[in-house]
Amino acid sequence: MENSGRHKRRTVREVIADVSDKGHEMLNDIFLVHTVGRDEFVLENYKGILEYNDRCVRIKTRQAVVKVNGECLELRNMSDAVLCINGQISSIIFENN
Amino acid sequence: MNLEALLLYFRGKLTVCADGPFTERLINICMHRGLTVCDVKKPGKNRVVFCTDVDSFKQIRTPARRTKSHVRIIKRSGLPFILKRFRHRKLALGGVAALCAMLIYCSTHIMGITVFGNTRIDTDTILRELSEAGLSVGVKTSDINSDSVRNRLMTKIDDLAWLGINANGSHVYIEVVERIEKEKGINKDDSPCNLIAARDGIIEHTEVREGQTLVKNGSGVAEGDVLVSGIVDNAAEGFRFVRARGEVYAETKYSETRPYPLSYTESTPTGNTKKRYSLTVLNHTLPLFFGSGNPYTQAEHSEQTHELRIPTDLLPSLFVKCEEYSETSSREVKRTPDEAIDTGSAELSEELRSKLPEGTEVKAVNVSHTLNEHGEVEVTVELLCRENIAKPSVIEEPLLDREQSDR
Repeated sequence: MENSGRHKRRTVREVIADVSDKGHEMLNDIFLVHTVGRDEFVLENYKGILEYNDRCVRIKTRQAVVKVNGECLELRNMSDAVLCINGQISSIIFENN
Repeated sequence: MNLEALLLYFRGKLTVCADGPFTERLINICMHRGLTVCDVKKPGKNRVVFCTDVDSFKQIRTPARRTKSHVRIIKRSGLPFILKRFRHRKLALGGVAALCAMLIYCSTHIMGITVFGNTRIDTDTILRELSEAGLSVGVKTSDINSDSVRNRLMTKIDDLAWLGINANGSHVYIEVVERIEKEKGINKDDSPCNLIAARDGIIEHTEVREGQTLVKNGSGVAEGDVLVSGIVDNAAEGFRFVRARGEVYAETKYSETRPYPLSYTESTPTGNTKKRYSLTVLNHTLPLFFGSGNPYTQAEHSEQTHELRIPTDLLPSLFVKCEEYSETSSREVKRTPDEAIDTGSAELSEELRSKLPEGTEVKAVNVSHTLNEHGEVEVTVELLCRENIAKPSVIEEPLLDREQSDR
């Protein structure tokens, strides 16, 4: 997310992730998004819900705020790491924290 | 229904409505505390509806206080609430438990045995032998040892060529293959024998294929007389023992005499009938009527049994027996001697014809009658027949031994 031309300093977690050959998202709390068509949206490694109504859901992650727009949105399955949204999704926007 | 929804159903599902200014925060705190929250809907600006389980709802009070939310249950569903509803209905719970126990029993024990493929061997005989071998209604299906049962029945029942035991659910199908019956009339045994008379008669015609004929046409013979000898006297070879073969046709008589009274009692149906039903399951009969079976003092009885079987063979067959009693009344009937003779003639003639050996030709029917000291008409029916009276009779062993020693 750094736009500057300077060399980004790597964190300890990133180094361990590279050495151990594990997924970055596991060790660095990077959010992982996948969708099933336009009806289901699954987000892993989220921090919390900032806003929720049936047309818009804003979710905080470590790196960004994920905004899901649509209609009849429902938070179907939730756990402390995974969030599943069902409904007619029209757009997914990543906003800076 | 996915696995999580199923687990939620077993733990007890609560649909909760939370009203407050910070509903998103309430959800976040619940998530961070590891409480179960699913199916979150937002019907209004300051209202959120979600599903949770009973244990999570008990811990939701603190987050609700922190977010100044008012939480209330709007719907309860799931197994614990259903069981709670039936808590005071002990009979219903007992019934469900009994049904479960019955289903388990019926699916693990033999509920019916069907025997098919048998023509000569009686089904009851097979079922009795199966029962002695440990295969009967009520036995656990896991205890069936097919090989042992098959071996036992094969040794016990001579006519059995093969036995198949197929257990389909709790129903057992016994497939029977019988031994091929020896063909009648063809005796491949070549042991020497005579042809003797099966009954008294006058010889009409002889067709001898092997052996020495000892009777002539027109001669009378008594039962047991030798008609064709198996000892053949030949000028070149001397005495020779053969198996006599052939047919000896003779005129024979069959007669029967019976007294017929001129007045007798006849029972006629009154038209009144009553049916008695009873249910049989697992060899236990439950009558569906009160009192004794026969409702009349004098009645004719007939019965029919219907089997009701569930296609899956999970439950035992239900037999519905219908017994029908038709009331009859007795009345005294008088008849003339001619009527008695006609009745006797027809009756006795029918009886005699049913007793005749196969292939017997009836040449004439003679009917005679006399009046006995009791005032009854004694009717005599005599059938003049033409039949093959030759039957084989094995030549006794001493004769054969002597012949062998002579050689």
